[in-house]
Amino acid sequence: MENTLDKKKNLRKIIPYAIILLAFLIVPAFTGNIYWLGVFIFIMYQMIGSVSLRTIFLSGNISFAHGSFIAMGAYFAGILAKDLGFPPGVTLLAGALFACVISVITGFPFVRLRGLYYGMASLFMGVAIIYVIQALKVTGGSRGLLDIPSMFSSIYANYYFFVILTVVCLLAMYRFEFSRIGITLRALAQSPEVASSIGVSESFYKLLALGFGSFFAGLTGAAFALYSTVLSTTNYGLTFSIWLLMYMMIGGDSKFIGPVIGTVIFVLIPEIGRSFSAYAPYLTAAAMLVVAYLIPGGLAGIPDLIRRRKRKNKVENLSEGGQAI
Amino acid sequence: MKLLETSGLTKRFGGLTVIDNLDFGIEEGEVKGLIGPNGAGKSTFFNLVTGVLLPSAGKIKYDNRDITRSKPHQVAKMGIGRTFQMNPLFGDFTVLENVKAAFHLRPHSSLFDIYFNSKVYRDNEKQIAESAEEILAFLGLINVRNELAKNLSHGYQKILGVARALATRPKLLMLDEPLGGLNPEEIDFFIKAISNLRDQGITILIVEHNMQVLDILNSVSVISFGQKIFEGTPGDMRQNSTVAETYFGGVI
Repeated sequence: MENTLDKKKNLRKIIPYAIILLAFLIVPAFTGNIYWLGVFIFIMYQMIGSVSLRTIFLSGNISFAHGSFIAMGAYFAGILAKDLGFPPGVTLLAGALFACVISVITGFPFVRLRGLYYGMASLFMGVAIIYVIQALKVTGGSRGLLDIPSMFSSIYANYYFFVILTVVCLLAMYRFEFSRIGITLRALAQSPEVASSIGVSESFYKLLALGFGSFFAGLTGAAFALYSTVLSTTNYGLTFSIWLLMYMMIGGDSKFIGPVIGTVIFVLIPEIGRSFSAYAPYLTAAAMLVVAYLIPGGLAGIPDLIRRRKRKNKVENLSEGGQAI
Repeated sequence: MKLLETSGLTKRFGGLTVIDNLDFGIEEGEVKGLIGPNGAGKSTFFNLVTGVLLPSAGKIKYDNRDITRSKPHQVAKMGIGRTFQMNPLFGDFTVLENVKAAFHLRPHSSLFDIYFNSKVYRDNEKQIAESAEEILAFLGLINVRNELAKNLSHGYQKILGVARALATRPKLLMLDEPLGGLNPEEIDFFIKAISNLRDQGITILIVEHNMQVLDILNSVSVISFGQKIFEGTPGDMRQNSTVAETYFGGVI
């Protein structure tokens, strides 16, 4: 009895993911337009970024350096591919590991900071990383890194590679969150004092979340570098990190699917609005305000909101019935 | 044998000496009370022992090991479980999830086992679920196990704090004002639960204002302005004139 109920519940959880995956799989059948395929690749690239940002957020820390870690993965992979001629498999993994290792090393001094103070430290770190990339010669400085050898020549191959990459990354991060590691991180976020009183090492678990999230940030950055073949620091500044945060929060930061939905919708709105481009920014702003005022849990919180409203109505109906008697 | 022992323990905040050269000990298996008026340094003492604060001078020994500079999670690992006076919880977890999360240390699975959902991990989780239910049943929380912790009444939340501390399988259980804000029924229940725990062989330290707790104590230390002014049995304490003066403001 309980088992079938669990199965039903699990099935209901899978449905939204299945719909999104299906949509991404059949997009090329509807449009052979390179521009639109590029938009969808851009969505998947940022989706991995935003979901991995949420992995770090699980420990209770908001990071403003995430875009910079994506940049690090991208530049490291780009340089390896361009200057040293490494094959894509190696460069992808190297980019991911580079971002992971650097995030843990640079995160270590700040690991005791919480809340706003961590946010500030990560802000400085994120900006500093971009400055360093701009100052280096090997990265092409402010001119950008050009002529990176691409992984696939066909846009379709690139597209489906990104679909597979996104599925693999999201599965890996899903497992992380719904294992005991994720539970421990959420406990840590709710009360660091209590968590350490039951034996959780705050520094270790915060660094674990940071390293794990940054690994996927580096991976998606590296994949995008090999697809776009051109890197410029202007694409990775503070604004990029803040957009990733907004995708997560508007989509709903308490649910895994939040940043997935947030990224899809807020990249698509301005793209669809391009045909009446004068109004596109208003559309984005309006959508954001609606979520901020009416749906505090983010877009992924809508089903809960409806359910709660329904239950409330039921209770009210019952009490009215009681009065009638 | 002394399970916990401090010698010359001192804590200064700037020019203010909150704990002053305090020698304190708990025998294995006893229930000990730490009593003192507001601002006597009880909570500071608590935080020094559990590693939240670092002492300015002195030593803390637990189970023949020096834990003076240990961090909170290391102290927990060595077998000191604690509750908090303000009683923070994992509010968005259910009661059962709170206790299950507290089984962080025992039984322990490696990160690899956890991530790949190995058999070792699944077996451990099954064992954890059973033990968590046992603890909840023991403390009378079994009927509210699926409620969110933040929705519980204050009394239940306090008891949940003890359940969480028990899940770390402590040798020494430190309770920071456990009776504060409880109603008389809950107090009776709590006191019974504490004597049950003592019978199971857990050493217990209670910081408390409420004098009802005196009945189950084996010994008491009274501190005032960071200094020990009395040590002995609860019966002797009632007779002691210094204690009466500091604590009750003169004659009882």
